[in-house]
Amino acid sequence: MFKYLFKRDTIFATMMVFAVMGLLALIPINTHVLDPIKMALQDFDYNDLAYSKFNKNANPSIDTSIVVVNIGEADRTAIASMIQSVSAAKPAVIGVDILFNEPKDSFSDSLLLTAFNTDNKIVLAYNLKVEDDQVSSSGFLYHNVASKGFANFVGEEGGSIRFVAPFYKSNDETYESFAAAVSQKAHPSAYDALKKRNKVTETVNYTRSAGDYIVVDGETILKDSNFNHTIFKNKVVLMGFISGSQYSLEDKHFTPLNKKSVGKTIPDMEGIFIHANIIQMVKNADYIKNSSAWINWMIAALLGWLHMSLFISYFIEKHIWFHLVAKIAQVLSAILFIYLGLLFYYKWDIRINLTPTFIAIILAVDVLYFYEAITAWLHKRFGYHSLFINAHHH
Amino acid sequence: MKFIYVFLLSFLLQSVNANDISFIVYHVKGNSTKTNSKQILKKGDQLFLKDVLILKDASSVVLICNNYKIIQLNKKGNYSIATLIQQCFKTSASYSSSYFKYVWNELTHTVGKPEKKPGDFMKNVGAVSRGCTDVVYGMHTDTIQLSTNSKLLIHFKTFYNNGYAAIYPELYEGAALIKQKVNLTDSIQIGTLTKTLTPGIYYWQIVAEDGTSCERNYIKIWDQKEYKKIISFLLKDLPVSTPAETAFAKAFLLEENKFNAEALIWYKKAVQLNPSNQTYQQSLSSFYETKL
Repeated sequence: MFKYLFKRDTIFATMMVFAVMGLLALIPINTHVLDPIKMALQDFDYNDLAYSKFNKNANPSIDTSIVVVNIGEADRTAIASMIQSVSAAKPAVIGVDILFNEPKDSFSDSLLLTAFNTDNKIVLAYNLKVEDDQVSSSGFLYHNVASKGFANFVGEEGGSIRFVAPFYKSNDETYESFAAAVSQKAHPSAYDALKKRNKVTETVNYTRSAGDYIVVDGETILKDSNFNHTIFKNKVVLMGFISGSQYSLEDKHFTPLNKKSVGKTIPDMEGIFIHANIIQMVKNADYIKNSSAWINWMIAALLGWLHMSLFISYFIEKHIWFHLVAKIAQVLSAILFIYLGLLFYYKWDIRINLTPTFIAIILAVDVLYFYEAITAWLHKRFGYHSLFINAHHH
Repeated sequence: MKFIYVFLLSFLLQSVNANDISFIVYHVKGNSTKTNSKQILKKGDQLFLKDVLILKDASSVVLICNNYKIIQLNKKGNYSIATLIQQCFKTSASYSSSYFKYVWNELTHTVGKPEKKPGDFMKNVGAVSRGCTDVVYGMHTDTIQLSTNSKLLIHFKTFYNNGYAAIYPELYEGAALIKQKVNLTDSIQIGTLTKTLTPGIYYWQIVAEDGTSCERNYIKIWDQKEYKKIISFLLKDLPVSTPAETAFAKAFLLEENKFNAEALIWYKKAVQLNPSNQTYQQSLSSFYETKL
């Protein structure tokens, strides 16, 4: 295999693989139209397996820096009372992850508004609508609240939530996400670091599932006179809805933590816990690092070149075994590279995009035949010398 | 060949012109209007060649062509009827053409990446929603306490076409005790709706013909005597200030206790006694909106 590594044909054939990849990328079509597997796996990411199958970040300690308050079915007056009660305990920030869609009654609405405006450490969520690059927002109350953040995540509609846009920029306006706005109040230096990263999106590093957060029932805060409010002191308090039923779909989303990575399943995590994971990620600067494009292409070139050398050796010397060896090499490489890719994600929070590598290895076999035909033509026309000229394998 | 197509098309358009009415509105959801008219479109409205249909955000319209074909529009925008009419004469596609159209559409539909263009992938909202926007009431309340002879008028606006106001004995489930047809923008005299009911606790709501609705609102009907008694009890210890201030305080206290009909009387009284007071005026207009 290695004796062909530095041969001119190996290098040129490898270059041709990337040239073909470049040409294919130029065609602006979705080639997966008739590929049911690709269509089924449209919202699939191999890195999800690191969470769902290999327990990345499993068994962490309970997060005591964030306390989640479940508003349950409380009405606006009760929600306002909960906010006031929590606010009195001097938390670092109160993130209210509730969208108030319309005015209800002026009394409870004014109570809510008063609750929001008497404590400058309250952040209210709202819905940011982006339609054809036009940004609008919907809801009630948030207009009159000083600190607010959009609660939208980034992902396919109804798909798995893997990304968040900490700041969304449109027409010279910058909109802040709910998690970023909460972080600004609770962890200003971490917030500055997030801003400095200047990323369009961040991959959410899920460190905890819903069960790993302290959840307090809002009704208990109001009704239990023995309730110890010091639990909120200097903590990030997130108020939202948590259903008691695993079959409830209210504010529930799919995440990579879902035990079923592919196919039909039910959403596994409430929005408030996704925000909690993002806030925790920002606080600890525990970001997922994406390998840069040049590294991805370097890996693709290197591994494509090694495979081409192997393929050429069998193509010329043991052609009868060529296709079998090529297929086995492709399968084994896929298994190995997925393992390595997941390992980097699992251990060091690094996402490596191995798609160019896979495509290069898959295309190598077909391009090799094409390259052989080209060299035969060049030899006939210009006397070009190639390893394939005297190989008799057909 | 081209000439024949052009001729046929102009012939069809000519015949359409002769009929004049191009579409009849069959179903409307949300806010849609046509040019030269501020009226919101409703079922049965006629659209002519010169019209332009204006579809607002989250609206949809189903139109019937004069050859009985149906066209559905659900994307925000302005639609010229002269252009839309051409869709009425399109023949339905065959299996083969539908298949290749599907393949072509899929081929040319490039899927973007969420991490590169997040704006296209921000439909998932990680927050619980509270409140329903299908019906907007001029008096923002989900709880009302009323006397049996109340004349309280509540204004509302709804996107439901052919809706009705209904009174139920239960918060969830159960058949309506009373039903009354309402229009898209309307007001309802809640006392008239409940006049046949005996004092007690009921639930009311505006419901679309297809059953779509927001959650039910609580209503407590009091016997007239009891009602007067509770109002007097609530107001008896109120400290007396200037007449306008006292009226305003009464209104606030009654609103807090959901006696909205009485609260409205006192808010109006406060404004009448001191028309220059901005707080009174703002309180009245936010408590009782008549233009929605």
